[in-house]
Amino acid sequence: MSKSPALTILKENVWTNNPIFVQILGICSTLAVTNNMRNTFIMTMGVLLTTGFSSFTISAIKSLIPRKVRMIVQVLIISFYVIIIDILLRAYLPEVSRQLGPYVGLIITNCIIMGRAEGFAQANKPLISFWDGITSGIGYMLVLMALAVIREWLGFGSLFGLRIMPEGFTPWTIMIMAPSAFFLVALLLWFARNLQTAPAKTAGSPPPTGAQPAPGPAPAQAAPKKEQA
Amino acid sequence: MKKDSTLYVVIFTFVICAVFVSLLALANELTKERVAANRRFTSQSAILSALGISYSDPADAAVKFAAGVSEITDSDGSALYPPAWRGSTNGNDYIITQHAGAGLWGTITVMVAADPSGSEILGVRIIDQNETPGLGGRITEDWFLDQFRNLATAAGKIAIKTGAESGGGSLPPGTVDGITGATRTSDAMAPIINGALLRIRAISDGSALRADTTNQGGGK
Repeated sequence: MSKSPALTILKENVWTNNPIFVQILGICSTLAVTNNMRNTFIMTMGVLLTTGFSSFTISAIKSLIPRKVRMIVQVLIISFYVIIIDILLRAYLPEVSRQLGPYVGLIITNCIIMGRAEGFAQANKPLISFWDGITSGIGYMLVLMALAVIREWLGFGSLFGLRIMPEGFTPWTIMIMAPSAFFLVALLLWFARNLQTAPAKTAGSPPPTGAQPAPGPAPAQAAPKKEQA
Repeated sequence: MKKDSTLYVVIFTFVICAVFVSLLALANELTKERVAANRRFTSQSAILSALGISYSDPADAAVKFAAGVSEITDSDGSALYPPAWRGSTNGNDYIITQHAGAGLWGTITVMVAADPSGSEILGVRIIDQNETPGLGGRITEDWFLDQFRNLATAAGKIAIKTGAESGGGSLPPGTVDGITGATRTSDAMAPIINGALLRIRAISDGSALRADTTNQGGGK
């Protein structure tokens, strides 16, 4: 492998092994908090930091943790960071803390954090575990922000609270409610999975490079057309 | 000591819990003052806005609050639960009370300022709600709350108009427009505000200030 492990992990966690698209983790929060970009950003920031720091901590003390109580210790460390975030929000961003309400506390139950702790931090060095946690958080954040853009745009007619749709625009109420997240997540998943698998079938080149996959599928599509003609 | 021996597991779990819990306690202790100040400001700013007094920052709010508002106590001298205040603005005296009731998804807590007879609402502010964002959650928006500014009540009560005919046209006295698409939240607001008005009248005639009645509900 020519790439540095840090880059490989970044690509893995943001795209090829994205927690939402591929691992289907953290879906509950995806449904609950993505109707407003500001709250989504702060919540995913919380998840990102918690995943990074708890992976770091777990990795740093992994040789001391007895196997029998390993999961209890992981939950303890994860909830420690979540409560710290909750305390900081209450002290320095009271308005945001009030709006997010119980969702901050619910970061503890986000499966991504424990998934990274179990799947990566247990077996790797602290710094790279921290990076793994942060990049997983970034992968999660990007997907949730994409959803939030669509939902806030159509549901409120605004982005980050700034109105962008004309005055006469009728908000799509469904976009604010949880059900819209169900079908938007599904559509996004479908779209991303298609992107991920399509080039692998034809050329085998990695999908997110932009220029490369474009010529790949084009001749493949053109060929059968000629046969039909 | 073997890592899987019971003794090690017990000691390790104990130590790691002690370490993390102490750190949390420390973080909590360090931010305690700030969190309390934030909470105080939330309540003071709601009271001042219900009274229609403007303020520029938390310090200004605290000064104006101290100058114009005083907490009401019962005959024993202890604070009411939920809390209530006397405030004056433009030479008139008002009673402000905190009141809570059921919304669509959760409890809605409001701050209502009205004259002691409950015949005119001076202002309403929402302190806490869990209604649908963008729909019922719009009860916190100014256009909705401004409808309550100097609203004369009809026989000590208000009503919120919902349904197809709401919006446009003149409203009967003591009535405000509900929120389109949030009928259930709008419907829930009227009993909450009427409950607050009832309490304001009970405070002004003294029946809510007897120590034996006010200590129900575990107030401090």
